[in-house]
Amino acid sequence: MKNYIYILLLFIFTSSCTKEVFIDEIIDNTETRIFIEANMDISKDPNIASATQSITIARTADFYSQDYEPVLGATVLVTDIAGNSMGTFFDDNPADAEGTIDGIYTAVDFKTPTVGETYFLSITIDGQTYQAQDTYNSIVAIDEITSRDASFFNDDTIEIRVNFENEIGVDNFYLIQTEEIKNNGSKSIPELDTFNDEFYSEIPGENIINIPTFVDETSTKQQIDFTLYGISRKHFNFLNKILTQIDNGGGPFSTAPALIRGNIINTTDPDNFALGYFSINQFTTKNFTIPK
Amino acid sequence: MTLKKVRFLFLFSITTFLSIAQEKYTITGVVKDVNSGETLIGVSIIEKNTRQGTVTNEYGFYSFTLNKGEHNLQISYLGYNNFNQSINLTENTTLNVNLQENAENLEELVISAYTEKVSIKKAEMSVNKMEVKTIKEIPAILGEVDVIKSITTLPGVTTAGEGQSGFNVRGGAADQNLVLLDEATLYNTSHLFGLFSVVNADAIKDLKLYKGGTPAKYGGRISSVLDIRQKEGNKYGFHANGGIGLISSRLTLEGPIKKEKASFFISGRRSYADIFIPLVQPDNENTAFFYDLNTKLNWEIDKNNKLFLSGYFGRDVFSLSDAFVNTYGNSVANLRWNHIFNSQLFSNLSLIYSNYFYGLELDPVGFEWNSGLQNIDLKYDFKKYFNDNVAINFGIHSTFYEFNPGKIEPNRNDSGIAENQIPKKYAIESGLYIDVEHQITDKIDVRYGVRLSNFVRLGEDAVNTYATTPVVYDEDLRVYESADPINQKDISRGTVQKNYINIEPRFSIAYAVTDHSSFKASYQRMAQYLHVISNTQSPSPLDIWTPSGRHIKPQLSDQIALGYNKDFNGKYSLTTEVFGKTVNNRLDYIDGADLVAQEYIETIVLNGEARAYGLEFMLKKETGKFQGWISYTLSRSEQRAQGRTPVETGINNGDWYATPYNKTHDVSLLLSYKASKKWKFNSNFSFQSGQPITFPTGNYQFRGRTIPTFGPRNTFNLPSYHRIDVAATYKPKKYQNKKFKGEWVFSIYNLYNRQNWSSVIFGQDVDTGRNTTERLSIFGILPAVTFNFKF
Repeated sequence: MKNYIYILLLFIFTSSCTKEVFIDEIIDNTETRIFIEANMDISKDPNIASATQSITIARTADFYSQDYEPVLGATVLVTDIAGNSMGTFFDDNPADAEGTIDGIYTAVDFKTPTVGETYFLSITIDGQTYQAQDTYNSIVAIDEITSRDASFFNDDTIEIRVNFENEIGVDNFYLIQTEEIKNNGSKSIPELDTFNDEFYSEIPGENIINIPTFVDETSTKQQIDFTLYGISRKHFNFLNKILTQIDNGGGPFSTAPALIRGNIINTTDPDNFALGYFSINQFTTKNFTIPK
Repeated sequence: MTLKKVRFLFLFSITTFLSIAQEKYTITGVVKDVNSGETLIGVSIIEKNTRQGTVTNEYGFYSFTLNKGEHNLQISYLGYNNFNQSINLTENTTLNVNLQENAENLEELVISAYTEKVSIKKAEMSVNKMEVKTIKEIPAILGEVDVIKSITTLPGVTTAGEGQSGFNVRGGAADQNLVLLDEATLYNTSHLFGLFSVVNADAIKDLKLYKGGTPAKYGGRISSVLDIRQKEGNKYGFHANGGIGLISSRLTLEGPIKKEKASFFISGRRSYADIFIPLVQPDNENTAFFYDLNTKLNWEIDKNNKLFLSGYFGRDVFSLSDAFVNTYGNSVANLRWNHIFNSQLFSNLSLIYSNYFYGLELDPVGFEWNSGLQNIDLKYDFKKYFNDNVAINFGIHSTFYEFNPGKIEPNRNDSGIAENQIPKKYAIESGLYIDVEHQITDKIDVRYGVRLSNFVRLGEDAVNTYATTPVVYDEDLRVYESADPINQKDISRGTVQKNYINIEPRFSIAYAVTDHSSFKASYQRMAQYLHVISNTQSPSPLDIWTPSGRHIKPQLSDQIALGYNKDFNGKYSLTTEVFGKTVNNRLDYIDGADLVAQEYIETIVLNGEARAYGLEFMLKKETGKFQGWISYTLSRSEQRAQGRTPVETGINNGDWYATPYNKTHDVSLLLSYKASKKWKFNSNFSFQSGQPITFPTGNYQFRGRTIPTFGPRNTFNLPSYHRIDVAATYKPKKYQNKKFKGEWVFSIYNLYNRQNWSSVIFGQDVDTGRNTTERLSIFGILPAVTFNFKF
């Protein structure tokens, strides 16, 4: 619900004047760190293979740039609690005939994890070891996706609702990813939103969660992919913090932004920590075509 | 100050009273405006031979004890003609005075008799007074006179940011200001999320801001007290006045119920942008408006008894097609009884109810959210005038609070939201004070007192217990995380959950070098039991007031100030002060904390400290055609939160960092020029150092999104803020001598259209995800016209 309050607050300031500026001081104060993006996403649908998993290791760029220097030559291990490898990660993607070395470490033999179990990441870069752990969480299926007119934003807005039943008796943490599919088949930059079931009913039959998304229907015929992830509580906290910062960065109602650390620890030199996160999650995807 | 010393002070004062054995009589009375019968606050009464003086209190009452014999009294008040009276004092005497306003013939005014200012010699310091007349002349955004914003032109007072009603006093946070409207606390001071303040200027008489040297009578906030007094209503005849502006229209009605005995006052204001939107866009169902209503009834039962009933009700309403409905506002009611026991003992008993409500309905998500806070106060204040040298204020104040952190309810049948009341919290805050005003010699005046404050947090449902602390430190990741409660238990409401007692000494002294110049010094300790951990620099309606309790300690502040005052021929006055203060138990939020609608505030904050110091300067010209003031403040305001154990890093590595309201330089220049009977011109220049800001240091990719990383808190500053506003008031001749009086006010806010940086928005390009920075400027050049009338 917090996100909706932000929407309301931002509405007040829409009449204010904004202008894009470039601040040299920001570039001058760039600090570079290693970041690791290691999301092991396992499909709920057993027909969709989840054996291929990737981990990206690179260095942060200055604030305005998107040139991330890849970190090559790292050793990447994902193991279960018994120390058994979950898959073999190579920078040289075995599935890719070209075999580019790009800091994206891929496994094509990733095993199916067990719900509730904890898994471990260990990466060695230039003699320094980075470690992290996360618990595998399941997800419920999306029941249906509905839509209705929502002209309160503007005349052509429609509201799409993703409806599903909240699992009773457990604290659930969700990540929903919304990707618009453009006419040329390419996907938009994903919208990410986290929520938990704190305010939702635990009574059977009433335990329905509906997550609204607002889209502009004047755009050409659109499809939207909704992906719902079951995530761990710590992962939820991390995503919440980084998403709050991207959605409200510096606005009049935001907290002072900060450097948000993920779950990756440098066990060799704790000060030289890496950003990013290691997570292991179950997901379910449903596609929706916007009615005309 | 230890208890022992305090006791010594009391003994000292009592022995002084006993040593008086001359034949003396007391003159008492009330000073009023001759036309309206409104009592006047802070009027000087001076015995011209001995140069002893006193001032009227908040109810226009004074008591002055002099030796038997001939006396020449001069009663003077800024903007009014002096009143001189010779009196042969042979018994206790009542002298009620009606003063005549001299505003209309200002240009003929010659400073003939030099008016001595009692304030130079009084121990009172760090206090600024503003009359509503002055406030109304300051050029305002869209011509909407803003009572609370007007004080930011004073030294030591800054705004958090443009278009935000909150104010920061001497490097203090906005929640550390006690805002009183006729003695009742206002919790939210702004309309339209901070663009305008909640107080309608037509309804008020004057305001007084205490930045330091705060009398022991006030407590509960550590930074300042803004004491706003409402008008009582004309006792002689029925009058109406109002105005039509771009933002709102106002109408005030006042008049006698029983001539000279009872009168009423009612003033309403409503913004109307929402009324015109449908005319332009007929199918627009969005609305945003505010309104407020100020009322007062007063009844002079007899010479010694007066009753006042004041009320305030204000609401803001936002609605987007009924899908998003947001309502919030204050309501206040206050019943007061002034009783004069005898010529030397004045009392006031107040029963106050104050309520703040915040409601939100979000149809797409399917819920309704209501939160707020209400309190009932009982206050009994006395002032005993012993002789011309000593007066003692004493009293008791007790407040019962009920906090509603929030109740969520489904708003439609198919909503999956479960009804949930976040447990209400209850507390009682009490204060007992004694405050002595003591003129020791002709040159030395002191004011000393102590407030004994107590805060009792009562029992409530579902009290969280944590395994260790509500905020835990992850030693591996070196981050603070919110802890999960391990247990919840209900504590009955009659039980004391936590009890705090604080002794708050206050002391100030003035040494008059001459009759026109003085040095002053003060020390104060203040305690604050309610907190707002705001993510914003200015108060927002979402702010949740949190009472002190087991996890959250009261804030304690110590402040010292030194000052020099000089008066030049009654034309100019100069005030300079230096101050330094420290605040203990100032809460600071951990990195990445989400404060909006946060129900367990203790899980996202650490105990920290704050400090501020600075230099203030104000040169004022209060008479003649050409009036105004320049104020300058040089200051520094910082905070830190260190680790609780040697292992912990603390917030921002435990280093001191600038508060969001740290403004190194702050300059205001206000000028007004009365050109003729028809025209009057006003201007306002404002300059402030840019607001501290945290800048990003880089970015990385995660799940297809660009994630910025940030450096230490508030290390950089936005570019400096400055602007000029001008206004012209035109009184057409045809209205000047008629019963119906009218005036036009033309104003231009931000004359040179400076695009000031209100903040930097760190955004992203929708297509590429690349980070961007945008400057947010709230107000460019804004012309406005307002018509005011009176009959």
